[in-house]
Amino acid sequence: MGSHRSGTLGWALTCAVIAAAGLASTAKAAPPAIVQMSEDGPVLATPGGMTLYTTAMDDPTPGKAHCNDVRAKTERTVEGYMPVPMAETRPTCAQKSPPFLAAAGAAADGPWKPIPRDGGGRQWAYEGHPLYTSIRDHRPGDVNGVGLGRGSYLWKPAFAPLGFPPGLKIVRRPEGLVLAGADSRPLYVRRGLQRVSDGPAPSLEPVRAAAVARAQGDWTVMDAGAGRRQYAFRGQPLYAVAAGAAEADLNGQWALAIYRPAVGRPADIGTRLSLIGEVYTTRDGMALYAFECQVNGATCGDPGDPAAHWSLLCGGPAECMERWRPYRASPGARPVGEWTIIDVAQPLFADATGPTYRPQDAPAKVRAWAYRGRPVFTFVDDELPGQLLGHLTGKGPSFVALVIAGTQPES
Amino acid sequence: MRESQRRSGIARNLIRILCIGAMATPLSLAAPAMSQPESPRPSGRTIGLVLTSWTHALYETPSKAECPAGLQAGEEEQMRARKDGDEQLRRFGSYDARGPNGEASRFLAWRVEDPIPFRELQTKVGYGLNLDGTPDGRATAKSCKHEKFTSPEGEAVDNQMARVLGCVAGWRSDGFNTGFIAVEFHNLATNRVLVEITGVDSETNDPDVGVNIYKGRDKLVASAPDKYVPFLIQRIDDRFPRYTHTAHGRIVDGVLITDPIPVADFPGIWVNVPVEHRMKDLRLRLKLTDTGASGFFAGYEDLKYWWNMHGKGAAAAVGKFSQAGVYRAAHRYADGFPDPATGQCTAISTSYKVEAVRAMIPHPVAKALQTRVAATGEGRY
Repeated sequence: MGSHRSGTLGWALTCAVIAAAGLASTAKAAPPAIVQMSEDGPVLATPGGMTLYTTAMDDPTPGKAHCNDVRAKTERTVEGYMPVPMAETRPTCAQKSPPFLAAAGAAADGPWKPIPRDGGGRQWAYEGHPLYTSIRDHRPGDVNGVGLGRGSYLWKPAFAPLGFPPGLKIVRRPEGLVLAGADSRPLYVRRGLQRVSDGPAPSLEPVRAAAVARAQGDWTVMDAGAGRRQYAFRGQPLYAVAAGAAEADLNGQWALAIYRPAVGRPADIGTRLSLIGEVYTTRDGMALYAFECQVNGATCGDPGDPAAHWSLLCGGPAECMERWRPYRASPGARPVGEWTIIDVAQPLFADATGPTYRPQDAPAKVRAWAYRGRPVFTFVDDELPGQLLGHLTGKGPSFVALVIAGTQPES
Repeated sequence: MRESQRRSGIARNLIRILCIGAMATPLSLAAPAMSQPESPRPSGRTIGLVLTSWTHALYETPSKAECPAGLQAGEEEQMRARKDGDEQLRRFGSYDARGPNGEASRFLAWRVEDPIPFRELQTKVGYGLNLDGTPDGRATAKSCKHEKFTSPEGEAVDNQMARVLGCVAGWRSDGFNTGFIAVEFHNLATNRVLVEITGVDSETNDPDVGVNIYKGRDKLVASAPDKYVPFLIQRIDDRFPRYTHTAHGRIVDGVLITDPIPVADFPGIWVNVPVEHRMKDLRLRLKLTDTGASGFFAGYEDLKYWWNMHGKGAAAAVGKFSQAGVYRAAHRYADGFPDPATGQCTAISTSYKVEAVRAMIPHPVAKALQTRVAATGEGRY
């Protein structure tokens, strides 16, 4: 999961955040977006709270949007340019990721700028990045438009500037959003009574504050002794793991500096160590997978998308249903955080050359768990808890295990 | 240097010294290495090894004389050989999507038929070990009838996997798959395999040694391409007891030979994908040197695990072969562990060439892991 921009830029943009959040009065027109908290951190969002995204497709050409209504007939793959299934009728990129449109009279304001779209109309860009929403998001704070596994590079939430001191940011860990240094290693606070005079653990060192640093919001500056100054967050002095030291060297007196605790997970969902990190599992420890698919920048694993992307991996309607089984929600189960309960068609499709069923049109369906808007499955060949025989990575369609952010091994 | 860093550095160095000291200590004085708890290990020294390469043991000639019909046809060639190839490609968008529902040959090979026949390996020469104990490949209780190879040393050996992959461009010594995986084996700690030989009284001849295999968690260090630095610390990854295996062995004329390990799972990353081998009746034959070892890991690859690994990670598009063809060949040539109900063999004899350098394997972790395995039964079958 990406980490937030921070540092000098973030510090300088604090005013922009406050304005965007609608927390300060201004003589100018109201910014087009608000700041919405999500499991990944504060994101820019529509006035209705729906997360805004940027795409790597636009990165080379600031101010120009490439996710549009064009239906490309081919896609570039490792095999060369290949035909795209259902090229004439499949949903377009803009149908999957609708642009965040600017009103007719909208004018540029600071980092916000309306940009023209191919085919007419205007779209908001933030710092040159065209902004989009995602049809996968249903509630304020959803960040379901981001790909999983290797597909995560293409779409990212438009993170709101944090207004943190230079060099500090947040990273996602199982415990929640955690303060971190520029190297993404987490920061720590002392458990229990906070006394600077206690000194840090041998492998920790105070997070130094510059001589000119001042208190702002949740951030204060403390006297660390010997003329040194140290940042504190919400009143707790912050410490970083020293260069060359390992987090494992810490004893139980230290806790992660939590920016926002994790919401948790339903009782139906477990976790297990695997070769690629901690993964979400069934109650019995069997790995859970989500289907991931992107073609020419558009997601292609949603109901109504071409079934050919599924049948490639899982076979015809009956075989697919046998090999990849939706993880059914227990009676009375309730959504928690990124976990929701949805209807999943069974079978997923009737004809591999047509679209997948939308649940409302399916002849049969089951109530199953979904992670970040995607139904999750178990794989028939997995025999042991934590085993990942179904896990794939790659540019094409794939089933990916649900790795818990911040648990990936170093190599 | 900061005081905190200095103290932390001292602590780490002290741990290293203690670990190296433990390696040099007779085993009777140090914590015992991974071994069968019920069979005390004889006294003696310990040899630690870390594998630096792991490749298929294939017999190849420069003229490819062993592949008289040529190398295997790739997925694209197979698709284009179909009368309806263009229409299939238009519908499903991939050369390997050749099943009736566009199933990919790499995932659902049993749904895909190749129009171009499999090109058979034609050689009597091969590398490997005699796994079934027969001189002629006759069927036994644990094997199906098969044709043996003769090793360059004149021994009858089993390596039916060579018949499956010997004429695949990507899997030959200069192929994409072989090269890519060699780089991953070096770079990714998930692929680290440690071998520990305990109770060694003589490195030339010793009739009774213990052998422990662990998943490691450290990187390899090379001073130049393929020049690995020996005698560095390699830690055991004790988070995964399932990848710990034990065997009895002997050293004959400087060659370590183990008894079969009934089931040995190995983790790995193959072409960016996490995979698992499950080898049955695995044996090691390693020529020991002052700084390392070389030889074979040989046994029967469980077909289900092997196919999962191969199908997900083998990259047929650039390795130039048909996954469906390889799948059918592997099942056709399977020669180990017949299904009692059908008689069809469920595993295939396979030999891997391995290279290793000596390494220091810290023992405190091994002791903790041994306790856990003994208590939970993890890693045993």
